[in-house]
Amino acid sequence: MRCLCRMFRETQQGAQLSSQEMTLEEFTRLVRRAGIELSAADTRMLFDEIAASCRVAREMTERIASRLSRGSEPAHIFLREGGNDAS
Amino acid sequence: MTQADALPTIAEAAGLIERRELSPVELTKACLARIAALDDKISSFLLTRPEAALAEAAAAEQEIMSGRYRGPLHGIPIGLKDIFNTAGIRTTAHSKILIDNVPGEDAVTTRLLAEAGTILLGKLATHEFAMGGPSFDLPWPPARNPWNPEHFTGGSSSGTAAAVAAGLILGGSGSDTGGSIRSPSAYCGVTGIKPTYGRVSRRGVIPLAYSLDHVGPLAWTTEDCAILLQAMAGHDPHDPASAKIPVPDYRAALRPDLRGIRVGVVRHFFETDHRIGDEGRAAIDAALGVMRDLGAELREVRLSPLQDYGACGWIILFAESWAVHQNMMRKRFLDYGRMMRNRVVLGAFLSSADYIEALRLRGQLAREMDEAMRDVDVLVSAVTPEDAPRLDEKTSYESFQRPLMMPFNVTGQPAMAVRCGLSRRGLPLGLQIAGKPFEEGTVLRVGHAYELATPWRSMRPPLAIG
Repeated sequence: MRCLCRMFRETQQGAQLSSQEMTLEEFTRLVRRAGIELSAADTRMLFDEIAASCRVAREMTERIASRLSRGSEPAHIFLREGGNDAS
Repeated sequence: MTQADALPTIAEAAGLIERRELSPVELTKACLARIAALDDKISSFLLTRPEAALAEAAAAEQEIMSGRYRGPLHGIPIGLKDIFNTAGIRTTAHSKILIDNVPGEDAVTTRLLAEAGTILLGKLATHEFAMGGPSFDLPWPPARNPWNPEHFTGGSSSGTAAAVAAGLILGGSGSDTGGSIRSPSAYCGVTGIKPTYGRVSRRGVIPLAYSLDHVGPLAWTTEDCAILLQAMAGHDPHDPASAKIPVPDYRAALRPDLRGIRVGVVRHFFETDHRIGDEGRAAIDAALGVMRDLGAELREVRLSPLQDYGACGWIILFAESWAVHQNMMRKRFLDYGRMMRNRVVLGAFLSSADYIEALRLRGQLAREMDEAMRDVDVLVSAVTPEDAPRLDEKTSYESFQRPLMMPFNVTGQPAMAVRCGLSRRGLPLGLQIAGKPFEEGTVLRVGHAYELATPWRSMRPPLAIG
């Protein structure tokens, strides 16, 4: 089963944003990685229930990234050329 | 519409008590009788303590009669949102998780209100852990709106707002992480102020999101909020966020006019970014007209889109609330209510980068707000998109998409909700007034003058009068 919401895919490097669809299997791994103990049926129910909220959260993280200006960087952080500058 | 003559405000009751024309015992008995008669319709209390309250009232009366009057909260019946720790009294956060929790110590604000002489009638309904609600899968039902019990109270300080509106208590405590004092104040037609971040100690108040949580009062009038805030505010060396800034005399600053006050109207928040209903916009415009007539100077203020503030605040809230609840959620996920667990678990799926970027945007927005506030004393905007929806119209994620109050949690500046009308359905409409950091006095002054000039304070819910 695939969910149209973009969520946070588990990779070998850890959780990271992905624009790909989320499968129930991927979601299950994320739930386990968070340390939440749920049965398969409860995981499936959670997957179905929070899809809309995940979509909203995804849009929020995208909006935040798009709105950051260089001025919000702490001075000691290296500014990558062209990175995160919406100004 | 019914009148409020039979239900005193804190200021009115305090005057009578000080002059020994009103007995705290009789006032407490009257409130307890109202709770017995009305609370089964609005479910605002999770716990009442009638015997203890009457004993406290008798002690207060004895003190007052012997000349030891403590001030305007002496002998005043109140309630506390059930996330405020109360020594020896169950504190549940409206959750199965804490159903047997009896704290050993009072929250700082619990203690301060008791030292001011208030009479604690009981603990009040909230959304689960100030986040998950309105929910019907918890050990207690959600509070209901006294103006129409089929409708939502707003949340999460739902029990406090409902109990104040129904005249069961004269005031009470709330907390506000994304609007949890202001939305129930607006929907229930009472007044509630979220003070500046750091103005009121949060020690002993069950947290939701460390950098967004605020504690403040709800009451029938702005003057009553000023009285309650006076008792609650002050530096707490044991709350890392507490500010060591002197607390002015809030009540003394209240005046009936707004001469010299510059009001910035953030019209795009509620006209384009999140367009509220026609009734709400008309009520805000009418309120602005009243403020102008009272001597205020109005000007329009533009800020970043409301959605920027909303995204920033909610991502921080999800991340921090997961940090608060992660250990318990790992062990007892299904013991939380569905709405609470489905919201908080979103934080488990965020990355550290998401949180850090939200904090960076927060700094950016705070600087923008600081700049905008240089030319005004307060900002006026909407509190909620419309009057209170029916309880069965609520969905679990809609508040994420209605961030009218979140800007002032992101920046930490004070913000208050006052009533500015009644809808065609007979439900309250609200107005939001925000001020500069640590200038709660100016916010209260604006709300007070507006209330004196309008009839809304004289109108109680029909249920409250019977």
